[in-house]
Amino acid sequence: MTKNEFINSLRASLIGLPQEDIENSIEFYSEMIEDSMEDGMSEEEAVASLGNLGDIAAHIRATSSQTGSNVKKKVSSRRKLSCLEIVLLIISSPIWGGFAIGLFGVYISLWAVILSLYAAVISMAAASVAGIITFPFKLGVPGEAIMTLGFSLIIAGITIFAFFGVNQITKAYIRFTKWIFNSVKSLFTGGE
Amino acid sequence: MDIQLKRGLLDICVLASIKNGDSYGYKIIKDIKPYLTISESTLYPILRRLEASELLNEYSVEHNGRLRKYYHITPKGLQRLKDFDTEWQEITAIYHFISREDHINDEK
Repeated sequence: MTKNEFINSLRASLIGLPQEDIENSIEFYSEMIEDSMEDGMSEEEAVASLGNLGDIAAHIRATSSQTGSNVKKKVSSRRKLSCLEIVLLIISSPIWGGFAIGLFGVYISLWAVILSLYAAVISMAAASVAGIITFPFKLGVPGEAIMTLGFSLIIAGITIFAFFGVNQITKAYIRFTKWIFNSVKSLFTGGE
Repeated sequence: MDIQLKRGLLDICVLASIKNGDSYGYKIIKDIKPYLTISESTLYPILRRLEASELLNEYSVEHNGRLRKYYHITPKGLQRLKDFDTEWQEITAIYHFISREDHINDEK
C-alpha cells in the first residue's frame, strides 16, 4: 500500500469522528510514514510497519472519545429553519399570528409599566424638592415645618432608591428584548 | 509484561523521552523501543492523552518541506516524572515484599 492509499483508507474508516481528531491522526500517521522513509524504509515497508489499519482506527476512535475534544465544542443545538418550515410558518400565520400579537401587546404594556414607574419616581422627586423649598416659609409653625422637612427627606431617600431600582428593571428588560431578538434571528440564520 | 503495568510505564517513558529536549513521534518510538515494545498505534493515544492532561504540548516545525510535530514537556509533566520517582520507591518496597514471600515459601 502507498502512503496515499493508506491515508485514504484511514480517513474512510474514521468517518463520524470530529474533523479535528481525524486531521490530527492523519497528520500523525503521515508524519510517521515520512520519517520511516527518511530513515531508509521503502514506502511499502513504512506503511506496513504501522500495522493493521483496523487496529489503528480502533485506537484513534477510543482516544477520540476519551480526550473528549469533540464533546464540548462545535455542537450548536440551534439549527436553521428549512425553507419548507418557513413556508409553513407563513401559511399558518393566521393561527399563531393572533397569539404573537397578544404577546407583543403584553410586551408593550410592560414598557408602559416601566414608564409609569419613572413617572412615579419623578413625582416623588418633585414632591420632596417642593417640601424642602417650602419648609422655610412654614417656620412660623415650627411643628409643621419640621414635619414637612422630615417627610421631604424621607421621600427624597425613597426616590433615590426607587430610581436605581427602576433603572435595573429597565436594563433587565432591554437585555430580555435583545435575547428575544437574537433567538428569533438565529432561527433564520442558524445561530452564531 | 503485564498490560496494565506496561500502560502506566509507557506514559512515563514518553515523558522521559522528551525530558531532556523536545522530540517527535518517530524518534520517541525509536528511543523507547529498546526498553518497551511500543508501536505507532499505541503512541498516538498516549500523546493525545498526555496533551489533554497538559503534561506535554505540541508544536509544528518545518522539516524537508513538510511539517513535523514536536512534543515539549510542561512543568506539570516534569512533576509527573518526579512523582514517579517516589512511586518507584514504593514499588521497590513492594518488590522486596513479594520476593521475601517467595523466600519464606521456599524454606518450608
